[in-house]
Amino acid sequence: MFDEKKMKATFDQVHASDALLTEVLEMMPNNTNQHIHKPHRIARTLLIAAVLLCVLAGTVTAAVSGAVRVNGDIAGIMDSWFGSSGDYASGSAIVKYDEWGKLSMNIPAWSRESLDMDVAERLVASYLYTLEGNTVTKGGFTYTIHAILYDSNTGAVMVCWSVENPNGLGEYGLSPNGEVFLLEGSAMRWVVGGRNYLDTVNSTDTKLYISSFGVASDDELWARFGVCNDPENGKYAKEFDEQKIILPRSDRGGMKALTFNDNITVSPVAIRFDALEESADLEELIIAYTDGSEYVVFSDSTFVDNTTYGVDSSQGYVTYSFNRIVDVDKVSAIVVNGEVYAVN
Amino acid sequence: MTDTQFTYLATKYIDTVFRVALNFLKNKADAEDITQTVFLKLYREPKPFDSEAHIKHWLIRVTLNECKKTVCSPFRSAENIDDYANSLRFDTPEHSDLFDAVMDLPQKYRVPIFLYYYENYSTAEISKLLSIPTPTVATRLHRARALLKTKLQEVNDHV
Repeated sequence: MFDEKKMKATFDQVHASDALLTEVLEMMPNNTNQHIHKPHRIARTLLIAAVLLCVLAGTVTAAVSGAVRVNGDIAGIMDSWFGSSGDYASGSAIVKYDEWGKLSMNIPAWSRESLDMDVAERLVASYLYTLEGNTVTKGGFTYTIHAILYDSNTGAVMVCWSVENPNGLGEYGLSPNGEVFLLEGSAMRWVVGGRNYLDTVNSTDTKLYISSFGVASDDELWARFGVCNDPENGKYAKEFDEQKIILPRSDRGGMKALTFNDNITVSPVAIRFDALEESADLEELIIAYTDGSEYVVFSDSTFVDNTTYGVDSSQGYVTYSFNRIVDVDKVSAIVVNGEVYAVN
Repeated sequence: MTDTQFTYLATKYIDTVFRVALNFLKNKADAEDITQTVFLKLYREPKPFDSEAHIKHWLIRVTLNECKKTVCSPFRSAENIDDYANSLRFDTPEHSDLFDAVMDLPQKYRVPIFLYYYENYSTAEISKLLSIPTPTVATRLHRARALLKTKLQEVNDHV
């Protein structure tokens, strides 16, 4: 998928033009034919205005019908998203180098916390939903969506789903932090969210329960499930038999949320920063509670990351989903790069 | 610097400077402007260099500084990187996908990952070049790899 060799081969194809080299060499005073290349330019503000119009037009997208109530183990589902019952509840930072001395694994330390069901029921449980026709069967694999959580305030999406095959699931990969992924040679085929974590409490040899985390754009939400008929060709296989299903967005509205500085939104499940400069660095985020305790969401200096997913959008917003539920009724402040934003 | 020395260095490192600028700015016209500016500064640089490695390091550092100035400028060209990407001849679709995915990264991830994986700079060296702490470089590489993984997965889904 991504390696140093492929990176070199790719950017080896990027060259300065012969004309540019000629112009550079002609800059020397002894050259008589000097001229400087200057491309046509337009005002940057015009570009920004155009982008804003596109974004605003996209927000017209309406909620999709088809959401139905979850008839399952809601406590178990929320524990898999926000609790600490699984095998990957916490871990130290993992830094590994490959045989060429290049960084091959770089996972910050993380720590999950026990789910407080009272808080979960008060702030989150009623927002869970699933969809009609929530099962896809392909090539012996049965994929089932059990629950979806969509937070309209931040765009964060969580999906609880499973894949089952009585004859065995074949190959898949598992990171030290519980992140599960497909390998070259995997017969399973799925695309859900941005990161997927194995729910080790409920999974068996023939059935995996997976927690997926993503961030919705203005487009429709979807997932794809299927089978790879050409597993020998791995991730570049062309022979997929898969089905795309549209995930409805609940019209339940947004969860209770806090707003700071007009551009930071904190919900019980995620945080969103809007209108950030592209060069802005989010190096540390801490949520402080009224009882004096703290949730270190991430910290570059201590190499800690207690998020389940993060999106740094080229549209100027950044969203991180939490690995625990934040009781927004008890937040006293958030601290971003050392700057304190108190709850009013 | 003699004209002979300058010609040798410009011919050898023009691609390096152009690639760094293109990665930073995502814009061919601006990258070409920066390349010219950097080599003009090299030609006029009065201080001697210790070695060719020193020159390369200096070129990249000056390129990054010029790119930062350009980003702050109220005027930038409106060229679309897709047009430039389409003009490149990649060996395989995977290389094309990787180029698109890297260019789609936010700037703060795009530049470290290019310097690390293409130019082979260490996290400590990148830290100095970009004037950011080494742990921040490590974090950005971590996040860039995760983003690339997601983007390449999405691209693959649409093959």
